[in-house]
Amino acid sequence: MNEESILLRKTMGSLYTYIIIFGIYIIYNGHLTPGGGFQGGAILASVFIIHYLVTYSKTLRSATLTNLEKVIYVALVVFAIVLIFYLNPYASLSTKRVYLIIMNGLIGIKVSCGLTVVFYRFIFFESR
Amino acid sequence: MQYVILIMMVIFAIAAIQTEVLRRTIIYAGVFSLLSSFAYLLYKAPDVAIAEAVIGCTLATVIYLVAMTKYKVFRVYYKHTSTNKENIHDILESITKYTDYMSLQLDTISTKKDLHEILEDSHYDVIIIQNDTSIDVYGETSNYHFDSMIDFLNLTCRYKIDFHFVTPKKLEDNYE
Repeated sequence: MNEESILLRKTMGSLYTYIIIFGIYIIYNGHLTPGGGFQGGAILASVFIIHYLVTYSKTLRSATLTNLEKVIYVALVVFAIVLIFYLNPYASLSTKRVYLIIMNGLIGIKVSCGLTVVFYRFIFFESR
Repeated sequence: MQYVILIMMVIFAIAAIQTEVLRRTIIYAGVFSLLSSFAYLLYKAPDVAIAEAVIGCTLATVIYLVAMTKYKVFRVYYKHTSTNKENIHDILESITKYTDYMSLQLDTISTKKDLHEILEDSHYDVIIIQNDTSIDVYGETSNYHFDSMIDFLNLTCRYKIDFHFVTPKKLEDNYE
């Protein structure tokens, strides 16, 4: 299990695109169909886990992901508060749709960063 | 259909507890998770079903499998400073017996470093230092295997040389 396998690398490398498209689709259609920010983010996080399984690379900068997660968390809270104060309660459906899509997207990016950080931290730091 | 899924969930939950091999338990737990996500789908909660299928079935299984491979490698640093060639490698043979008994993968490293260098720099499970008069075995109390290894060595070994089981404190955290 220590050396890279060519078969795994080729097949999983061709699967990256479809997994990312599927995750983005689930996030983008979260307000209409089952799914949403959390589920789509978890699917996007599985891309990084496949990347670990395929290449065993140790060069992923988890500090960047951690900072990105914090920034997106602040942005999420600020966006929700601003919208509560400024959104017309009788706003049209298309406005609410834009609001839901933006919220789902932020949640999705945050969840995928969080799960990836948890996974990589578990792998590289929690020995024994 | 619902009853079939629920009965299969019960069967796989019992199988996951009752198997002897740890790796099979992980796979049974993954199958149980997949079946429970299907049951959520039958109860008309597709949101929960997607979350369960992604996290319970995929991420948790992969994390458990990685944890298994990290847990199975048993790394021994061995330092031999004795001039007497008689009792050489006896302790390694008994540790090999122990790892076979526990079905671990043994990784032995002969070294000439000082004890403190090994303690600070390396990822070790057990450090063995053999002198003329004694064999010192160093290990951490947080290590899962160390207590059972002490018991095993005390039960099985017949040596002229005494053992000193020392459990030093962990010098520094590995976290970043």
